Amino acid sequence: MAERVDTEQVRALAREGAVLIEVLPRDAYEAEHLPGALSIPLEELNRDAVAELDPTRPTVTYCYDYQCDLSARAARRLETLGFDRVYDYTASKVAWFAEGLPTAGRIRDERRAGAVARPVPTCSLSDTVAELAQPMADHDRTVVTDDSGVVLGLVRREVLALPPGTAVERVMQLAPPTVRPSIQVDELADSMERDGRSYVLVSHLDGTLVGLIERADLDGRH
Amino acid sequence: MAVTDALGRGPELGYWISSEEHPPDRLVDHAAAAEAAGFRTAMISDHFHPWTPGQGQSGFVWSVLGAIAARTAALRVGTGVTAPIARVHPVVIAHAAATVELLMPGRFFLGLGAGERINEQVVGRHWPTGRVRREMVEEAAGVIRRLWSGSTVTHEGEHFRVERARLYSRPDTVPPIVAAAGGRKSAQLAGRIADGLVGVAPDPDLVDAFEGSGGAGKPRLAQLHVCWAESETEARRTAHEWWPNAALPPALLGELAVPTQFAAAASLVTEDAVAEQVVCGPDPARHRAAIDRFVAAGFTTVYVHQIGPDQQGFLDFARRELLDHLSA
Repeated sequence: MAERVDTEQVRALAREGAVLIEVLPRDAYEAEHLPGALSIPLEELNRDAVAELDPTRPTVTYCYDYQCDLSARAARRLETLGFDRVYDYTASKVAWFAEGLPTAGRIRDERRAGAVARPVPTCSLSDTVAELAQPMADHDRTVVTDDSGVVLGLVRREVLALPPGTAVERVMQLAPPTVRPSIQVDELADSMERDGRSYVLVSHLDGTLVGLIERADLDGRH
Repeated sequence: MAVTDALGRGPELGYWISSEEHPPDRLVDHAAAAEAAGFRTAMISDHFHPWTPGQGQSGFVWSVLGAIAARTAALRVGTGVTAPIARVHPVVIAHAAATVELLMPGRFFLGLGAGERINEQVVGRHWPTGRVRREMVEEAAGVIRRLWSGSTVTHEGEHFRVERARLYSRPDTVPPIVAAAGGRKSAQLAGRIADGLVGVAPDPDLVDAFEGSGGAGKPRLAQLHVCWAESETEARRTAHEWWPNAALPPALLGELAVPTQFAAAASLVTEDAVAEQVVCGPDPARHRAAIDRFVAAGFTTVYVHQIGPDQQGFLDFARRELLDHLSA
């Protein structure tokens, strides 16, 4: 059975010269795929389609996301075709894009949240309101993160009205809204408009902060 | 460390005038006493019935406002909140609000909300769903603003009809409209149609829905229930006796029809359950912490509702311990 691999392992395999194969339909591949990946839709995956490939090279199959079984079925099929180092990238391209890793295809990276996100001040749980005056001078929000940048909360400018000794941890908003860097700007603008959101944070899958997008940042971009 | 809005105002405390608990003349006394204690703004509930029979009162808010206008000099007062659903037609709300604004120029604001059945069923109409009531608030706000503009208004709307109505006693400057919200949808509506938001929970998501729907930079008002007393034991007992509805599931508040039904539901509510929803006792730190949660969530004025008879005790406490808290 093909070994299941995660995003980090796929990056390592790609650096070692592995062949990446997207097995989704062609239009999905053309919209967005992993850099350097080949397109062989599962419905075309037969002996002819792989005739040019070296079955001894490491080969990674991927599809849409972890709920999609196309990459697993394609990996098994490649093994039946004589490939002996096949890897199934189970989480697939949604996970790759969600990490803000480079993409290829029709959808350009500058049309994604990761490219639009702006720097936002951060503070730590142990800070007090007094320590926010400086970062808040030019910003309406400060994100509370841990040492590795994982989003733990958010404080608004209004906290500056509270006594300077007030602990950030006591007054922070616990679950500010976040999106992945891969979300397309048009889609994000539509959902923010629909839900009446004035801002979202952009973060990686592991919760680490990328930046902030306010509604006005998307005006004229969609 | 000041933080100010577009008009140069920082967050502030307000005083809640509770029509359900006190006779009309006492409400006027409370408003005057709040102003004397240093409060600059107040909101007054607009009810036909109290929540429970034990609360015992429910004066006609527009008459009380006329008396408050005469007894106060600078206090800004708004309704918290008026429901243009069944009991009062938007034409009457526009009329009453314009008159109050003339009696207290620059000091009145109109709070609108989708109402509760306990106040609206009295005229014997079908009780509409939340979605329909939000539509009614939106339509009513439009009618009210047109009347305030001095136009002769004829309106054949989805929910209201107006025929050749014109207000003859009109203020030069119309009062702001603030709208109550309990969830994202009503907060988005408030952002679209109102000059401010009224919330009852320190929920930053509500404020964001308001700001993201047109409300950016506009005032965000909140109601906070407290029961100050010399001892926590006494405060808890008073809160449980006078305001057991604090601990009822929010889904019930809009739907029960008469005070006796609230009393029946509230008979299941324990003192502990009320004390979880209401800041009880004499410790200023606990009152300040509850206020801080609203400010941190983005609210600009926190209206403190002192539950029970001892309003002067609370006002003295607020002057000593709370009013300087946000302007330190």
